[in-house]
Amino acid sequence: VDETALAIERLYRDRYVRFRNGVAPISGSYEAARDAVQEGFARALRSSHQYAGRGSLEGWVWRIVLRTALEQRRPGKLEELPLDEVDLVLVEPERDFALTVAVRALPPRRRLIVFLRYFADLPYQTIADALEVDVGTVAATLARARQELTVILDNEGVRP
Amino acid sequence: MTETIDQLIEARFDRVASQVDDSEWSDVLARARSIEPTRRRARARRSVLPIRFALAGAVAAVALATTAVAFGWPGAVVDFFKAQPAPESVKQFFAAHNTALPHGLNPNTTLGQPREVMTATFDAYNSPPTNPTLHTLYVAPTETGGFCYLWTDYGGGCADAENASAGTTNPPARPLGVEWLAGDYATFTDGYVRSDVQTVQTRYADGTSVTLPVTWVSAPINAGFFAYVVPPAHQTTSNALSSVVGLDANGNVIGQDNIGVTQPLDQSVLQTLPDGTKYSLPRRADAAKATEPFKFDTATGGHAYLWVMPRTGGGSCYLYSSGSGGGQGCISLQELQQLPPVNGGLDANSNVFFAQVKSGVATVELRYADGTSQRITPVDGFVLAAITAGQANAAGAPPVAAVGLDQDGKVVGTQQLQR
Repeated sequence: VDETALAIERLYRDRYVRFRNGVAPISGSYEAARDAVQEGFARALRSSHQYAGRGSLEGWVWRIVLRTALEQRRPGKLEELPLDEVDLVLVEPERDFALTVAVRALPPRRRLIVFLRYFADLPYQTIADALEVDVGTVAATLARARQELTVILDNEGVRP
Repeated sequence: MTETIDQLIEARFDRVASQVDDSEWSDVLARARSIEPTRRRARARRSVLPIRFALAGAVAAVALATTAVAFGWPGAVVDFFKAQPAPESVKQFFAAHNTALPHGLNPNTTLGQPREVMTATFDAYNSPPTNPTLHTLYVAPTETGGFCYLWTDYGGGCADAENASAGTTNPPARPLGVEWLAGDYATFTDGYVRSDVQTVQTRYADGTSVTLPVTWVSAPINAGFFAYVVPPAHQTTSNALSSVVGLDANGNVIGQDNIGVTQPLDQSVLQTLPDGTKYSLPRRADAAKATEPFKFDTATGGHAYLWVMPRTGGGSCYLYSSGSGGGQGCISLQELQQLPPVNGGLDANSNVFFAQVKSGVATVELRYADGTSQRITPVDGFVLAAITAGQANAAGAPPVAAVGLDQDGKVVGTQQLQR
């Protein structure tokens, strides 16, 4: 029995909606995000034996799903996650224009961390595992993003 | 204050997020099976001209198809083109991973070129090791000047064409690539070296070091490979493996990977809950002693549950699902004292409330804007409850506050809720 595969299935059943919503800003639509999540989990299953307990399993799967979504959006070989190049946006901006504008004002990498924190509801450590950055970097980035979001939304007369 | 802003922003995002659950696990399985990687048990084989390295720990590493030609590296070198070609199944594995594998493992390896370069005995699944088995290392060049490697029944990685100035921005291009397995401490390490690296050493927290045997592989690979089982004696904080370094001919460190030895209990490992399900949980969480005080189906068709288990060092750990989301964590007794009496929130997707409460809270009362309320009795310091459908829907709003009451019904804490 591949225990990691079982855990991946459990993760999928428990967190699917979070995964899809988390990658939707990368994929550009919920439909494309669903495809990225399905394919990403399939890749994770295929390479489950490569997960050796370094970092959280969820962070490892997130890394695969994010890479899948980025590859689908920008086909070709990816040596690293091009986090600074991808323009992430809310997929249905009409739902909250003020939030859309506020998010777009953030730098790309900060924007992705914001989406993973607030859209996908990920804890700091999982974000760090997913993006292969230090957890302190995540905390510092979110602290700055939080300040910027608050200021921008305040300026528009719209409290978060 | 930060937490309040955090919750407000999160609620703002929650309002614009899609709540439709269009998951389909069978589709994931079908996709996974469309390119099934080959995993095979390593087999014992006769080497063409074996050179047995000094036993290092419990590892017996054997270089295959070696040559006496000097390539500038110390010791024997495997002539890549004289090495045993990989079997078809391994070639297929590399081919599949050209397109399928993430994290740098989709590198356009040169198909038809994978070669067998060494074997080693180690336990790829248990740390500390309990069942060491023989593994074979296959290496294949890539079209871009790098290489990929695969340990049977373990895994592998890829290295870009070397770039000495890559620094930390592009780890696969560095002169030293290190992987390791760890329980509380590292028990096994493997990797590759190249550039001017002449010697590989494991270094320990007590200041000692061990020089590892390296299997060098000629062009087009131009790299050395190592696999090393850390001796059982090096399994304490004071003498655990702390780094792997690559040294040049003058003994200068030109590549180094540090292996954290602090707080190993916070490292996540796959654990088994009492009902047999597997989860990646911090080692600090005692999953074998977990209880499941809450378990129910949500109104939206999801499965909600909460597992609570002791935390090594005091406090508790938890794992919960609200049916559409969830979380896990460990909280020490000291951290618990710093939390408000009721510390939780609503899952807007499934109408489920989750909270951790202090010991003085005997009842959690969810209060609605229309004046109605719902009472929940904490178990083991937690509550997980479905929001009563009539209140959530008939009143047109979810609860606005979670109030902690003591045994006498006195309010000991109130948490305002954001949907």
